[in-house]
Amino acid sequence: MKTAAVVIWTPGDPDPGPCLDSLAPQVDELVLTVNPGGSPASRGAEVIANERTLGFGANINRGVAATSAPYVIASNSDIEVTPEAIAELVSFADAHPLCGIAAPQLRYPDGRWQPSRRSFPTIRGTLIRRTPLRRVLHPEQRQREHYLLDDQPDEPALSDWFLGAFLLLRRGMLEELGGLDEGYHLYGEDIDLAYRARQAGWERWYVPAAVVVHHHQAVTDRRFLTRRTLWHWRSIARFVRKHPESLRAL
Amino acid sequence: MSAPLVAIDADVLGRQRTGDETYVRSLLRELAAASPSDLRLAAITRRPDLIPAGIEPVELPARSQVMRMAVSVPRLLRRLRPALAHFVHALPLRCPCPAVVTIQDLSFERDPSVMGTRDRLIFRAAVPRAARRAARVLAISELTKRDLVELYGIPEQKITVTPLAADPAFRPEGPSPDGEPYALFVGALQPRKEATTAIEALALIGEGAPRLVLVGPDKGGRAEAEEKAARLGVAVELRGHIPQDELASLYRGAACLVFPSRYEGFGLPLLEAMASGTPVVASAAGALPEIAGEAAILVEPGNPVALAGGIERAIADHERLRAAGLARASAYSWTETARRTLEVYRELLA
Repeated sequence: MKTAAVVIWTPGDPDPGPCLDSLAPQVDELVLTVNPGGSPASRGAEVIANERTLGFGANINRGVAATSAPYVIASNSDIEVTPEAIAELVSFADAHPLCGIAAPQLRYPDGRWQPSRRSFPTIRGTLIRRTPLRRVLHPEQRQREHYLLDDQPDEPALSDWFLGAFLLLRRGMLEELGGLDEGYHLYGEDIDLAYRARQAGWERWYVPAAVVVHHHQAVTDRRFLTRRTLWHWRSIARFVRKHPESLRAL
Repeated sequence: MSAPLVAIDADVLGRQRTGDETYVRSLLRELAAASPSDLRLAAITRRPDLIPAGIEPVELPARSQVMRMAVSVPRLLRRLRPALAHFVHALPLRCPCPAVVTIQDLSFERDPSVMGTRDRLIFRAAVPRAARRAARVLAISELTKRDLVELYGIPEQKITVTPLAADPAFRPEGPSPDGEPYALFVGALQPRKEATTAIEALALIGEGAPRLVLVGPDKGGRAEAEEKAARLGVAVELRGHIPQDELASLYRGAACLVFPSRYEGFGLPLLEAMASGTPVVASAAGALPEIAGEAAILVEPGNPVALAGGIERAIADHERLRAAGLARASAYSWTETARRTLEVYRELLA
């Protein structure tokens, strides 16, 4: 028993079948958490049916509690793993006992590289990226810095945090940190987890030898004022209230 | 016309009041070293022998702290006629001149277990009054500043942050004890400091765990710590209050500093350990994340499992933490704190 995978599905997400099929041969435990409003094919995965809609953090925490393997993969349902991807992540984590979070290289379905490493947020950068200011204040350059676009390492690299689409998490770290913070709604849990991991001395590694395909839909990027923008701002507020000292670095 | 006189209340000197005494002693030392030509400095004390040259000692014996602040200090200030007076925590009942007050932390508001009921009532009356009446408040950390704004509604522009710093006695070079590796706990033995969590964490590590050396006076927690260590079979050594050079040597030799406190207005032992080149594991509570920056391992307060993991990682990651800690500690200095304090004096006298 080495690796468990928790896949999250919410009505509106694509069919989790291909994701589950690609994971099944590579993991020892496979869990699908399902938010109310649909019943996707589970393809043999253990199903946790939520009685009400839960966020990313709560879903992962439930999945972690339902499994026992020392590594837990948190995956969106729009993911397909390539063969050996999980073995790569696990052998890296085995060799690096301080590694608490390992993230694979993400690719779009057409094979293009998808940036998934991120720096911890800064107030200026967020204000510009999330408001119409981005139209006027040289957004490309700032985006490049935040998304580390100029840095596509082909060797494992230490990182601040990653897009939460697909992460290998060490169970020991989750137990120490008390799991993901369920107070965030859709955005921010991944940053918060990585921030607390860093504080506690856990390393976060990007492992490009592991490749995962992400059918990504960039929802926030299209419009300025949606419900999702509001959630995003609420997440930022929660993060700053929780970690006021992070403001100094911002 | 002679330079204006600033009177500093230095009553804590020579009274083994750990945090406050370090603050006043180090500040006086650096103020004297700065030897400002535009100000005269005087220190009100019961121990004139401890006042550095360059600062005029004004002896004021005291038996009761209440009588002192209500009667004898106001009388002395009337005779001394300073242009400005500087106090720690509280102002005297009457103060004939503008005053500066240094506030260490508002732990007595945030955590009732910090002190006894009587002291707590006195602090809850005296500290907010002092903060409101003072012309300027010096806070030792951004956290204390935020607490003053949030809890007492003190305007932000009235507060200046003048952080503490590690004494130069704490440095990597120098003697250190030989023998078995040990983890170091520094702080009074009282519930807020969570010595028992440190003991539980070492018990969880089990085989190969370093022993635990505890330094600090007993404030009601010693019996519990001893009992817990005996029950869990953790090797501990309780050293009580020790002189600074002995403490410096213990810091240097330690595998790591374990600092699981529930609340701190600053957390000076963090900087002292970092200045000694020793890795730090602390709880992410109070001002500790602010002071530690990225140079320490921060774990959930009150959680021995998290603390045990943190201790293991601190020992495994010794080199990185040592370098980061030395850099962090050097960012804080008493010289800089004294400089900022003098700036405040001058602004108020202008």
